[in-house]
Amino acid sequence: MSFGPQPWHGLPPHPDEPAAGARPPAEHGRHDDGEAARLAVGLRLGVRIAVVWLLYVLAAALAPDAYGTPVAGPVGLGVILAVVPLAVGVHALVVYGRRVDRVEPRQDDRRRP
Amino acid sequence: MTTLLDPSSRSLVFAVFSVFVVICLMLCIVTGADEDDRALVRSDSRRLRSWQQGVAMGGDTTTVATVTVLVGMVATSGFDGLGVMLGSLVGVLLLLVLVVEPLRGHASRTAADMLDARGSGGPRVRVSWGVVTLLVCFPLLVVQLVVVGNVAAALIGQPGVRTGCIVVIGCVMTALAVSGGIRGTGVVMLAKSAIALPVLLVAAVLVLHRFGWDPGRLLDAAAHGSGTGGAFLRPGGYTGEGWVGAVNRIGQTVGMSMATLAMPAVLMRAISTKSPRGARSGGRWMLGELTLLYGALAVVGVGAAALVGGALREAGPAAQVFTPLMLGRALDSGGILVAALACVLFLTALAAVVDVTLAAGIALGRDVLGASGKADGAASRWSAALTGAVSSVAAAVAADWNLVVISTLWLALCGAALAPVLLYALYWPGFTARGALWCLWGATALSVAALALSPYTSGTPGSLFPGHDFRIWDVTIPGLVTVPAGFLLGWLGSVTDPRRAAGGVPGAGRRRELDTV
Repeated sequence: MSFGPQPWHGLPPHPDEPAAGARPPAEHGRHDDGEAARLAVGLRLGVRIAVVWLLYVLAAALAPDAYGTPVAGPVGLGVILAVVPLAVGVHALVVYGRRVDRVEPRQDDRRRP
Repeated sequence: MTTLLDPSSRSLVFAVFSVFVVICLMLCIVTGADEDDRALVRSDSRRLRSWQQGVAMGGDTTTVATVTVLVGMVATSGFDGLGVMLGSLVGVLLLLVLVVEPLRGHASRTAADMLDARGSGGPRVRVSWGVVTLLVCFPLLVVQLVVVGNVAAALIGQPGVRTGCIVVIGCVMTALAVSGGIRGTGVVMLAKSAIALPVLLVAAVLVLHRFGWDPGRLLDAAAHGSGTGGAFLRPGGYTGEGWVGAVNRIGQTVGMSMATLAMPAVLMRAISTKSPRGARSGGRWMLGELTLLYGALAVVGVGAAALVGGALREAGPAAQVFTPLMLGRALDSGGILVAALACVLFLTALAAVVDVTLAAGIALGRDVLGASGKADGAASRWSAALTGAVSSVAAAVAADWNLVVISTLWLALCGAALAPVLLYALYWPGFTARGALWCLWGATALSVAALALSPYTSGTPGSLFPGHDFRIWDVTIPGLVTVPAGFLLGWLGSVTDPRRAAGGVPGAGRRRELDTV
């Protein structure tokens, strides 16, 4: 549910404000900047999830016996380690939402006269 | 399998299913599309809320094969089945972080709009994307229809009525997709989730209760019941040993993640959310639903290994689709749980098939026909009807084929052809239309060739052509080869594109043009 733009409660969102009288960047340029920033956030976190997942999968493929080693009763090491990619992914998702929300108000703030 | 249900439970299942179908048809007509093409693809006036779209996206990821074959794989192969579930969940996480929000921001109606908006589109790319989407959707539809036809025939107790069941369910799903559009099918998906998730959770709770809420005891019993002993929680039960097993395992888990990233029905739902932020919010609901669902399915699968593992081994691979029902019978001899699980299978098949039919119809009507300017208001609707009819006929014809080949085909195409194009278009400014075409068609050809030359097609008693042997390798899940090849082809096609060297940016501004169609 959205109630429109929310007030900013943190530090000044964009410390290096343009000098008075300076010409603001074109509308499409600002839009592209915000878009690029959002994509960069997603890409960094997506690569993080993918790398951790690939490491887990490679270990399962190359050392299946190690993954079958019981470590907690009948539960094998592979099952325990499965928590790692999931935890990294969920953490990345939370961080993604927080960072993208931080990028969006900054864009709104820069559009003010 | 004829003793799964007693006559009274059988009547209950079909009564519940019939009532559900009638209610869904009414909901589709009441809430469905009322503005021709635009409303079928994206309803502007009365959209579903973000959480509703998220639950529907979760339902799209859960096909009837997930509830039957995947649970059977967990019961018989242990770790490898759990690995597929984990791969799917990681794929959802990647989808939420990498794709959902920017896709919603750039695509007005289909993912091909995003390719246009990002400068790597054009009519040929649009047609290619639509055709590959259809190549993904048809096998998916056929597999689901055959599985649900088999289950229905077994429940009725007469294998001869399988074709009739497939045709009837195919007709119902086509009617729902055509009349409901994106909003009506979303309501169907919500109704399905409201029934399926609680039933599966109850089944999981009953399994845990049976073993005194002790996971260790449950796993011990599963290892013993599956007949594999300590290997139950070790990789290799399904994928095999040696280097072939390693290639299969990587291909299976990575391929599943990549396929989840680009499932056409999920992309369709993400595009139809209210806003990019709404897409993100819906994605969280999707993740929550799938976490609960896969958790329940994992417990159900392990419980099936513990309680009916011996019977599953004796019945052979073909009986894997009945794993939840056999477990239900073992947990509740009264038949109520079996009836409830049978309803879940039917409803899952119906809802998932409806959404895939709609996604295929939109791909045909909007991308394939629309690229040449032939799309009018009813094109997507007629395309959905045509897709449903053709897939029903194809399912009736292919009912006796090895379904694993067909399942692997759609997963391979989705992960190797659609996902790389989607990621390149969003994250690489240098990606061009030529790169998209090379990736789409090259990865498609490679995936088909890899499967055609695998043991799934020839050389073994379970192959499509057991009397011939033209396999060149023993790998059955080619994701390790096809997914990197898809990325490589996309990169190669783009860097060798002469228009890129000249600094041309094809396709910019086409999104606005398409919005006016």
